[in-house]
Amino acid sequence: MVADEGAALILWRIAAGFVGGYALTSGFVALLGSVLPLAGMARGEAVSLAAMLALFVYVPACLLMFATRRPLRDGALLSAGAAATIALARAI
Amino acid sequence: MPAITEDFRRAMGWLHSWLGVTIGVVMFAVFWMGSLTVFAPEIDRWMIPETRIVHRERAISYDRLLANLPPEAARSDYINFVVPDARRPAIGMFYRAADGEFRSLDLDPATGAPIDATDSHAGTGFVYPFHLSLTIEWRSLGYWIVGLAALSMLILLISGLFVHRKIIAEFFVFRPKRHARRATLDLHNLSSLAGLPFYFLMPFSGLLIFAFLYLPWGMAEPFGGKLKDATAAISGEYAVAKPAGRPAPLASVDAMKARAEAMWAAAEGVPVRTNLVRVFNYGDVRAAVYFRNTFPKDRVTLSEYVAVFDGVSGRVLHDFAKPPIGHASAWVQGAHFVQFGHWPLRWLYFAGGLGGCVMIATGMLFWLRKREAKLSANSPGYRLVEALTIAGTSGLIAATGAFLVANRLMPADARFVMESRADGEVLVFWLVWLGTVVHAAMLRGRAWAQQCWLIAGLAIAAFLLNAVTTGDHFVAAVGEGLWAVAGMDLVLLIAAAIAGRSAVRLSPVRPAVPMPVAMPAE
Amino acid sequence: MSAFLFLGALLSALTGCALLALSQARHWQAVTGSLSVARPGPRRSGYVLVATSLLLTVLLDGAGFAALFWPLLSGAAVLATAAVLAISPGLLRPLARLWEARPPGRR
Repeated sequence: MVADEGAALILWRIAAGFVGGYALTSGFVALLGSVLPLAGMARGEAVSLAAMLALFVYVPACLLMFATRRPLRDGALLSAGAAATIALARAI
Repeated sequence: MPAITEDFRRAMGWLHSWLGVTIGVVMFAVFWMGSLTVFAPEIDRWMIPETRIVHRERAISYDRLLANLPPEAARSDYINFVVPDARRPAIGMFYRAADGEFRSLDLDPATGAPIDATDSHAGTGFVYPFHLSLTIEWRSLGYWIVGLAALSMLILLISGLFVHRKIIAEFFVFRPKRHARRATLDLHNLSSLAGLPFYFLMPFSGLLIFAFLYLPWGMAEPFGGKLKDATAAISGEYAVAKPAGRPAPLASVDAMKARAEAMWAAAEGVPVRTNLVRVFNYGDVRAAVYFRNTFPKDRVTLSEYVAVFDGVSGRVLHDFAKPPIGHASAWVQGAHFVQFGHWPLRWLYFAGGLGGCVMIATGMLFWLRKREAKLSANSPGYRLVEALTIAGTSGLIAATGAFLVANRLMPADARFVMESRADGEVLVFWLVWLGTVVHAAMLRGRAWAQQCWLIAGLAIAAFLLNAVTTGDHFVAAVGEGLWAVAGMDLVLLIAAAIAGRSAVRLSPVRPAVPMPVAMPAE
Repeated sequence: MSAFLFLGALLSALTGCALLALSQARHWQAVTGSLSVARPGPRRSGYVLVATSLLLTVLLDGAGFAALFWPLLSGAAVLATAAVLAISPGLLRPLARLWEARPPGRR
């Protein structure tokens, strides 16, 4: 639990939540903005929608990193998710 | 989903208190300046008395204004007019000068002549930029700090809901007569719950407005990494060609404006008016004229239409209307800009913003109160939070008061160490703020009452100085229909009353040794 | 017309919040001195009035404005109610009487 932890683990939670969460959010916006046009939505509309949904990804990601009892595993998963969405968005 | 465990609650509590205490001062500053920004044009009228003009609906000929431009503006490749309205009665004009810098001036709506206005950044030039970037321009650092504060606010609101156990049972509870810690927490909870939807909407919409700044890669990637293409598709931006260097006369801008508004009205079914009249490459064969209905008065949604005309032929080059999702996004952004003509709502925004200030300040105060009886209350960390809380709240408000007083006292040719008189006012703001930090660090808890007295004194001084230096005292302003000035004066008086009352309540029971209060630089 | 709608929205938000507060035992006791809240109590009417204020703000200037106006108006009403309860709860006694006077089971 975060309140009983040492500084290193808390720093990891902060980094994974804010930085990892930022990467995941960027990847999410890029991915949604690239995928929806494949289904016929105008590209500008897709990106507008993705931007409005961005905080629904970022805020929960940060909250998760402070709430979790397994910060190492969840931080790694979040970072992997960020890398995957960014890679996928670039591939499309 | 697993039930909310005690562990989870503790984690949220830890997050809520530490994130709050770390970023609280920035959040307060953003909320305070944001609340004032709701009335930025009114602050402009108060601080720049030459623009206190009673607005009249009149047809303005932009052709005539262009024909009588100051010589430097006439050579500009970017000339922008802001259509006047009741809150901004002068015609706003800014243009790109030869050195690439933008110059702005106010034009008399009756004659079109430039107004020799007081050199002040006022509301639009200081309070508003402070709200969104703390005026730290270096590498957009200020925007990122404010963005982080907005994100933190959303996290704090959600974590706060989990910390607070008896939301429904204590929904209307405020016990000012109970001990200070309890009363502080009551006020924190009450102000949070009363404005909760507003507090969610403000950071959310604020971050959305700057989506291109905060998520540049994600926004541009779907457009092959071209941010310009993204802004064109989403905001209707239009890339105007560079000037060719061949002179050509400009067709009638007034006719183009009428045509743009007719096109928009046909699409909308009700009259739609332009706010911006922008001429690119004036006098060149590649001139273009740009219109946008940035801030409609009768709805929340902003910037629904853009029309660009070829300046020489008058042909339509670009006709943009926001598509449905863009429209929804523009509503969210319009909800943050508060430029619509809805006075009760505007005042509620102001109240909601101040309620946010109360929520943030009482949150930080509760953190202090919880620890004040313990040994740790003399630790450097505690003392730092204490000084920042005092200076970040009452100190910031006092600095704002000093900014207003400096505006009325500073001579027209004042320069200080800054470039202009306007920068001098801002310097006074920063110096007074810095002074309150030192004051709070030295006097600790006793600083509250003294800074409240300072706020009260500055507010009354500003009220009186407006009357003395401009003659538009409260009664005269009401009589002349200068509602912006009368409103500002009224708010100053109310602020003085609240600050005075707070000072009395916060004063120690035993009279302290009188201390000299930092006076604003004159 | 719009002045009436505005006043109506304001009054219904204020009374609605006051009734919701009165439906809680702690505030009922503070206002009336009685321990038992009338059942089913003023809660339902409170919700109806708060919903009415939403309807009136929509009628006043459309959903686009009401989505901003109503939450802020309700928030102001919550604060006003809490302030009245903290400073002088007796002000709400006439409102509470409407429920006291009726035998339990009605309204």
